[in-house]
Amino acid sequence: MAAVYLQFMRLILLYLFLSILLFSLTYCLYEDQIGLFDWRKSFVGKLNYVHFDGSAANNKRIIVSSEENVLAAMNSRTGNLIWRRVLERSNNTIDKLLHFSDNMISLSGRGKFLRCWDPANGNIIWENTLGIDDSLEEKASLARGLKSVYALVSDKHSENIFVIAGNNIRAFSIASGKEIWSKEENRDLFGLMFHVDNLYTVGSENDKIFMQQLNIKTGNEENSHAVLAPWLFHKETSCVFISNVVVCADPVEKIVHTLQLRSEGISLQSTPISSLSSLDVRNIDKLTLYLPHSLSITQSQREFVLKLNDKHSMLLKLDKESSILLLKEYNEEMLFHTSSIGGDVLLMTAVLSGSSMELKCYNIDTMSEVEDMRQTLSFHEHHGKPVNIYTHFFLRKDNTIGFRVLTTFEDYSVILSQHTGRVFWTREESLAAITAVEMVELPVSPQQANFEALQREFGYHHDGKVFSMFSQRIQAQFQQFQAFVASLNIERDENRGDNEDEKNGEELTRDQFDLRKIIVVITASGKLFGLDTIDGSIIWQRFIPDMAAFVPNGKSLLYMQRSVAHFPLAPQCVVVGRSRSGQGSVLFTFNPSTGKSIDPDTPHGVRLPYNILQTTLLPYHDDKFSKLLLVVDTSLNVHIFPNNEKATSIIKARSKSIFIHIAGKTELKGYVVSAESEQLRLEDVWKVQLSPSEHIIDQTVFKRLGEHVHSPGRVLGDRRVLYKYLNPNLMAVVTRSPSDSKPAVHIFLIDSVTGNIVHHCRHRNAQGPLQVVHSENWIIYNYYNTKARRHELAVLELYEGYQERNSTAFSSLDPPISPMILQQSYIFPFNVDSMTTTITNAGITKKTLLIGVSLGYVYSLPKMFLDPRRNLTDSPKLREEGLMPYIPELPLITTSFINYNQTVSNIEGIYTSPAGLESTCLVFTYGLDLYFTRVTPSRLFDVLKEDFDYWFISVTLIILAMVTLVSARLASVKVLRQIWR
Amino acid sequence: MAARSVVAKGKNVPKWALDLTNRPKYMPIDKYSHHTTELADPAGYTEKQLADTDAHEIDHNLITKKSWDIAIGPLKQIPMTLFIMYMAGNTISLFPIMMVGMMFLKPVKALFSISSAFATLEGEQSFLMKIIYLLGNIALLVIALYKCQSMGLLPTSPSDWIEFVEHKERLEFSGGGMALS
Repeated sequence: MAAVYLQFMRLILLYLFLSILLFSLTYCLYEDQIGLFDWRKSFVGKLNYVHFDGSAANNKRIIVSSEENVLAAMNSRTGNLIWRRVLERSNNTIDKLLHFSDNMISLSGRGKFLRCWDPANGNIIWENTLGIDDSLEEKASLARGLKSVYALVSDKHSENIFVIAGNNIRAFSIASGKEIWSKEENRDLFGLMFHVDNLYTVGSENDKIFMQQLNIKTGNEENSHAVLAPWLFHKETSCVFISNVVVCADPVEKIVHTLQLRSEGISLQSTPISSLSSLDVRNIDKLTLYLPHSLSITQSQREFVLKLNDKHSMLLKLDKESSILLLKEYNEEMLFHTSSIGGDVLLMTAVLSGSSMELKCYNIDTMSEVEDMRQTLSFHEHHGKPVNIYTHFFLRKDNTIGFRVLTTFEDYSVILSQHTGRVFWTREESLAAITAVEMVELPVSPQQANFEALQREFGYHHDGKVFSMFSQRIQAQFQQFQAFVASLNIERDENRGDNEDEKNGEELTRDQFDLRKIIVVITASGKLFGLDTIDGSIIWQRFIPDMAAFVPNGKSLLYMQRSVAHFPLAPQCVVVGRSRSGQGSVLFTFNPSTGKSIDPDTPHGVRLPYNILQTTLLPYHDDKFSKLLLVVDTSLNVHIFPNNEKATSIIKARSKSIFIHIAGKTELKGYVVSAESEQLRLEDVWKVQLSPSEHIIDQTVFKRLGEHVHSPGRVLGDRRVLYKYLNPNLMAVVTRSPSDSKPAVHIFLIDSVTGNIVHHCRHRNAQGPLQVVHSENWIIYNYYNTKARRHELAVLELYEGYQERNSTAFSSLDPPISPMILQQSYIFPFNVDSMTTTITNAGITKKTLLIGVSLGYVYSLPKMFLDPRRNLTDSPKLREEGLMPYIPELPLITTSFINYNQTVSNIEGIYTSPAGLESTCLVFTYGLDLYFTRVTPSRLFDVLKEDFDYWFISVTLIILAMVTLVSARLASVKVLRQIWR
Repeated sequence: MAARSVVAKGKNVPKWALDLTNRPKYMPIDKYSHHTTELADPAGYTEKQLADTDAHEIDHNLITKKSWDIAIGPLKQIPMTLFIMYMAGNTISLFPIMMVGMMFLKPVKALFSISSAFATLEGEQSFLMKIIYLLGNIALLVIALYKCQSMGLLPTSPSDWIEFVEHKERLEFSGGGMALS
């Protein structure tokens, strides 16, 4: 009993100790600091359904859904989000969105979730899960426009909704969400139609196409027939459903087919395109059929659009006998959208030309143009081409028809403009899909122009000579003074002249502690942004239509080649991506402060003819101080950027010491750059082959380039030094087991120069997705423990031992030492989406892990909690070291959520960047939202506190000085008097 | 000795005069000068300087003894110092630090003023005394250093210099990652 009591007391004491420790660690915000140096921007993503909610007052609401699986309502006046609901995070998007006057139904998760929403506030009214297998995939290759997951509401029987998903067909009540009937077919369904009082489904079994007529009330089959239609299984074929007719355009035969179920069988009609169009059939490259209707348009509309190529489209109509009529043919790049007002249906057409589009409005029944509705909208070049228009017509006060047009562009941006041609707002939705981030310092102002010299003095790589440092300092400050005097003169001149150029009033220059930076962001659409860290506003934007992210990881590669330090040379960044138009890659070199291309001849980057296998930024720079980028193509040739003589000679001189490794699915290969032939090539050095039945390589994680390790060892309680194993070539390779075997996660620590496996560990019953942080001499990763059903964080630390082998240089080619490896794991209460560590200028500040959890919070966890030297027993020596006793649970401190209630949905990554202050680290979290803040892991130890009483202290000092002077005088008088006495 | 300025009432005297003598207030200034010259010497006062009549008995043994006392002084302090050291303990807090400071200060001060201390040491064995005095102080210093060492205040282990270690040069460069296509 006593022992238990003792144990209990110990535990209490331990927690007390911990809480005291934590109290000193927490750094949270005060209420008045909210938004002072942090900001959040919310996005929706690339829109796929847009609907103007006519039921709302003043037509203020636009309901949108996006490919990021998000449902939202926007204010049509301001573009702000009224509400937003982020649905399940997966690769799926919202399959179908339906809208009625007072509610809205979404089908998502590949037919898994059917939900009814209140459009006014985004509240969920009911939800029904369809219990469909997760593995529901598109089994056969099907024509475009056929959907295996679809929902439909009849015009006439609008109390029920019908859903198909896979081979299921179900009916639900819209009011309650209850299932009315359900039916399972023995064939895959991919079409759902409505006509008069009947429901029609289209499905396939083997090669046959079945069309089926169902009773709307019971779901019983009333009629079913099959037909052979091989063109429906071609990916190039494009289909739409109009009432109970399937219309398909076959680009091989250049025929438009219609399929309709009749009582005696399926009637198949084929209309050659040549009979409809005047265009030479040879010019047809890709046929696309689509319905230009808004969500409010019902199935009774029988118009559709056939796009023959980029510059040629036809507006067609299906008449009562299911034969195709040509309404109008266009020889321009066109966009269409129909929308209803009152009882009329109006068609909006947009003719695209350069950076503007001309809108015209037609009554779709008569095809006569509506008066006074012509408008030309122009837009910026950096938006690319318009992709879709969505129109909303409304009656103005004088009873004429007005309209609003929402245009979505190639770069995912959204612009709302009114009939007067005025642009209401623009949203840059591509910021919801960021593929690469870099934070770049702002250029220095003339006053600071020689700041660099000062930085060299205090920076990391000074040569340590006191006198040269002193003379440098004096020189730099003299130059600063000169610059200051010059700037005074300039200001005087400016004041004399008229200040016309007010736009550049606030020049972007560095602040005192370099806390203000530019966030360079690459997005999935190929758009590049420069964001201001002060408020997240866009400083510059540039669109490279051809650039896409790499396929395997969905990331682009962004490197900083030259920093702002090399004035007057402009800073330089390079981004590498895949070419969207097919084979090849895109490389774009730009100035990160302005977004302009470094080479004015290639404003949209260079197209490289080869596919990129891997790239590496070397720490060596050419004579213009731009670091060299090595690009390896799929045939293992190495290309250098920038490609000049100096760069080639540098590479040739160091060729045998530059190693590149490339990880495939189950094997790792190491290469060395060889300069034996004229063309640089990679030569095999080593290879690690893993068993494909056990391993799939998930990721390889290197330390961050340019990370400073302040101390090469760790001081123990007995004042000995445990030297860190700081192998710059060490990488962590994470593998997972294939899905059909038992879950396991393996971590390999491999020297990427020699291929030497330094360490290997296996976690049984562990599952990814893993997030790995590799920094200094430690590696932290998270996994899901399937046996204990919890998330765990594991830490690995490597030490060379108590003796350092070589304190001046590190070479992987020396005989390898086997480092001491310490390992521990902890229980973490959240699912981890992203994880990174803070980085500071000189690495003196303690490291803190920043963990983006699925709930949308960023949790900051000091590295000291994840220290594998934490021991079960407590001893004074360990306490001297600052080590806490081991507790498996990591503490959850609510004030350590650095983004308080500003959650970031679907966190994709956290990017950290050092500020000029050693104590401060800038943090940029991105996902569906963007969030920026700064953290101080060891608190602001290098800055006086904000509430430092300058006044009080200076006044006290002045008073003291005065009192000293006065009393000295008085004292001398007194002494004189005393002498006389 | 107060300097009084007196406004003269007589006609023949200047309007003001500085009087540096101890003239009584009631006495007019023109009469006072006669009195001072007439003042007699006090009884037993003689103008003549008298010779020192004290008998100087030079006791060499006494000097040597006194000198030895001074020379051995530092050595005598050692047991006391050791005791204080023991009592102070090895934790680093205000009082032990102050004590260590004092322990340092004393011998250092003594060593700085060693020439004046040497001047007081006389006798045939003065050389020996000087050496013993010096050694005693040095011993005190060593004890203080030992105390610092045991308190962990001396930067003697490599852990104290680890922050100043230069960074290792990287002889190879490596990069790469997952295959991108």
